[in-house]
Amino acid sequence: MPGALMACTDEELVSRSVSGDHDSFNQLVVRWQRPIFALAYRVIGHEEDARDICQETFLRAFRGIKGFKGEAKFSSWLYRIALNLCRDKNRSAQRSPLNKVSDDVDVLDLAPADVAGSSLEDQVGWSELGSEVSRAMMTIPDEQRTAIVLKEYQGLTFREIADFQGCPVSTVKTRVYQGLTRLRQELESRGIDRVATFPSRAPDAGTRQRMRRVT
Amino acid sequence: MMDNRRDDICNDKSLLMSYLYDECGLDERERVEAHLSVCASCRDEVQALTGVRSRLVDWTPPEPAPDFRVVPADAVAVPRSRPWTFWQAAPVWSLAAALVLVVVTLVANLEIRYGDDGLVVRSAWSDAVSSSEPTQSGTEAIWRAELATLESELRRDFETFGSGAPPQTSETIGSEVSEESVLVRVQRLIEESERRQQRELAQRFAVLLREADAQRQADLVRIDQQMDRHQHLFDAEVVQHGELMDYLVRVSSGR
Repeated sequence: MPGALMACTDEELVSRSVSGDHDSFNQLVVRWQRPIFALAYRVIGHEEDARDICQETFLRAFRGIKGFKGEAKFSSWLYRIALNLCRDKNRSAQRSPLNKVSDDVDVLDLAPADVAGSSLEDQVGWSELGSEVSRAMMTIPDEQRTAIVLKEYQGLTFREIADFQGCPVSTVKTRVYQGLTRLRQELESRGIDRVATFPSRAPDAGTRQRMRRVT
Repeated sequence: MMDNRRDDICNDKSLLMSYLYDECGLDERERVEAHLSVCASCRDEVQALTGVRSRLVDWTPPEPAPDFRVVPADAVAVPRSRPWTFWQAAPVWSLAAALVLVVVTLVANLEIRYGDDGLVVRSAWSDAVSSSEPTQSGTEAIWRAELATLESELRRDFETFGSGAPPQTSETIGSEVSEESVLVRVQRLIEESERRQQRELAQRFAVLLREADAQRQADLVRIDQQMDRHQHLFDAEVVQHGELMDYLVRVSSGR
């Protein structure tokens, strides 16, 4: 039976869930809990809160599955629930990001001084790049970070992001641009830009697909 | 005219984003690429932002990923206890004692009276029984009926527990049943009831112990996570203070 459920589409599982089949709903949980957790973690930047939001997302979906009419994809519906929860969390918690820099201090001044005689790879191990990116992402405004996360990791179009964020497409592009620019400054201040090998042009389709698959 | 168009593209960050994420038409793409070939500033910006995007791949969510299931509330609700009956309200030993007392009283035709002359307990076991035949036969009919009721209640009780059939007696209560066999049967019913209650108690204890242990494990995990979190925040604070100190030292030495 679980094997048969694995082969079902989201729409089929939703239809069965509406009829009260809990196994079908849990198949949807198995299928989507990791992407939803990844989304919440990147938007919130806090693991424990992201786990709570992930669970709450599916609880709300479970309670409201009979009201899901199928106008949108099930995954889009889940994203919307999760993003609303993330937004509420950000608003209520007003959590200070890690290494938050005061507005009156130039981030470039906080860049660690170069250590003579040691390579940059020694100073910043590859394994730490993820946490450096994470910290840099937490310094940019929530709406910019959410737009970047939806674009880079969920692979949504600007139009889809605009629907999620309830704003014009041009606003989404501006948010992504400003977010990336701020991120660039942050990473440069941490010396990470110098280990990157920049392609001479925009990433090709293969690279874009690879980045979209990362969740 | 050409310079104006170049400036337009330089300032059009929306077009730049469409190009960066490949969400522009072919003509727009060619236009941007023609511009990048002559504008070093925009070319550098595209390269830098592409580099930032490549860094984002390094940011992976923590492991392990969540692994939970949604269970409807009615599937995990604690089964409601049966309506209280006097069987459950009283301890087993008191029930047994009361039952034995009733049976013995009825069988022995004991008369217990509390009056002006104090407590009087009188047995009409042998001769007295025979000498009062009509009365005794009436009493016997009553206690047999009460015993039959008791037995049926106990059987119903066992069936409600659902843990098996009640002990089968070889005969039903009837007029020809001897008093001794009735006593034996009632005692067997009492013993069986006691064993079932003990089993029930043991099972509830086991469930309680499991729940307590699971809760303890969950608490330990939570405490551990909280400790990690606080340690993480503390480390971040230390790093931040270090950076601020470096900054202050540099500023003061600059003066």
